[in-house]
Amino acid sequence: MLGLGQSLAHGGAPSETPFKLVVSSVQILQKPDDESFSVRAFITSETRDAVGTSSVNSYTRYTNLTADLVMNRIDTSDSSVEASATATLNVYKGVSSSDIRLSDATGNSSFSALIGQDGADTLDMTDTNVFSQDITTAVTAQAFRADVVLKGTGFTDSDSVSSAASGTQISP
Amino acid sequence: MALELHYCIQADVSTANDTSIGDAVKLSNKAGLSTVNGAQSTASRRPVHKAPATNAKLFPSVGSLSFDGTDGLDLSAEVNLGGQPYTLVFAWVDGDYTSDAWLFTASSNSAHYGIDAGGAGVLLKPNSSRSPGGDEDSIVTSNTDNSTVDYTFGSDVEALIIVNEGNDDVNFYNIDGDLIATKSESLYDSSFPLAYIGHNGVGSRGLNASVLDVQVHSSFAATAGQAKAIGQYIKNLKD
Repeated sequence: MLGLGQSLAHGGAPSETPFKLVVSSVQILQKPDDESFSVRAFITSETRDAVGTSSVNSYTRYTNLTADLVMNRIDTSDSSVEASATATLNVYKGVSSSDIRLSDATGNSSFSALIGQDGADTLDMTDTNVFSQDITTAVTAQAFRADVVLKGTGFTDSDSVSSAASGTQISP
Repeated sequence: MALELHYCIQADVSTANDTSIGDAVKLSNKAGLSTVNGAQSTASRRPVHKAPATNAKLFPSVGSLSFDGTDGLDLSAEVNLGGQPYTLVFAWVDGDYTSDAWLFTASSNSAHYGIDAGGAGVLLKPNSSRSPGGDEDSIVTSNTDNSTVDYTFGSDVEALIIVNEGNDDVNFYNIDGDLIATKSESLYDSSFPLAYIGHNGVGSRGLNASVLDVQVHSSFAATAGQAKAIGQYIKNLKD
């Protein structure tokens, strides 16, 4: 019987397969500034054990992880995607043991500083093809779905996991 | 259509725990919007900020503003609604529904939107002194007579999304985006000069709960799908 993380390569010799990262859920949060949103993901306990644990107020960066983010603007009448934007973001430990935050910050950070850097430099927040209005100056709420793939050196990419299909509101 | 007011209390990670709000520290409108502060000149009516990681029902990064039933905030400038559609959003946790709670109150005719004592109904009084159309309506939510679901507010994270269509129709949605009440009455499209949050302006009819988020959208009637997207945002605040 093969153990977790093992497989048989050609020739019968056992070889290590990289641990596959597992994201259990993704959420979009609103923020009080004009960048307007933050993306949070939850990882399984096995993934947490593989990449390390966190503690409250510990917003340290997982330097061996990144996340591919697709922000999809959602038509709330039928949950269809109207437009999308992509970014590769850095990954930080969140406040609970299983949550991670995506950010374009690079260094370790406090939570209050970190929530000001959630992709605004990477996602073009002024692209009105993606964000029906320039999100930095928008005057109405919009709904989005975030698709996240977690990647890391020495790990197999996670499957893509999405936030609520019917969209999550982001106010300007 | 425009977002007039957004008190994004849940994301306040800088105000110290147990800080009184309304005097030295006021509730600030979201960056980029007009200056409409939540103030309170009467010390005994000031709600108290609860910092993240102080409420087990909330995700550890989520803050709230605790109202004790006699607290309330007075807006530094009225937000004039009516004549066109508008949408109001109020989210809270730890609700105690012993008494009526007025969530949004206007500066005239005691016009208000709120929650009926017991948590199984919503309140609506338009800005008019004419009766009966100008009287307070209490619409039961714990049946499906005026809605698609039977709903009673509880002590977990809750939201009330109020959609005034601007044509005498008013819809009420819960955190799931379910229609919990709807009613049409003449005068429901009256102007609504919003002046008070969480009380009737003199410290009574207050909500006994911790408030997470308040939004006021003018010239905008949220659809059922949009109400669900708003509710999803609020749901994400749960632990």
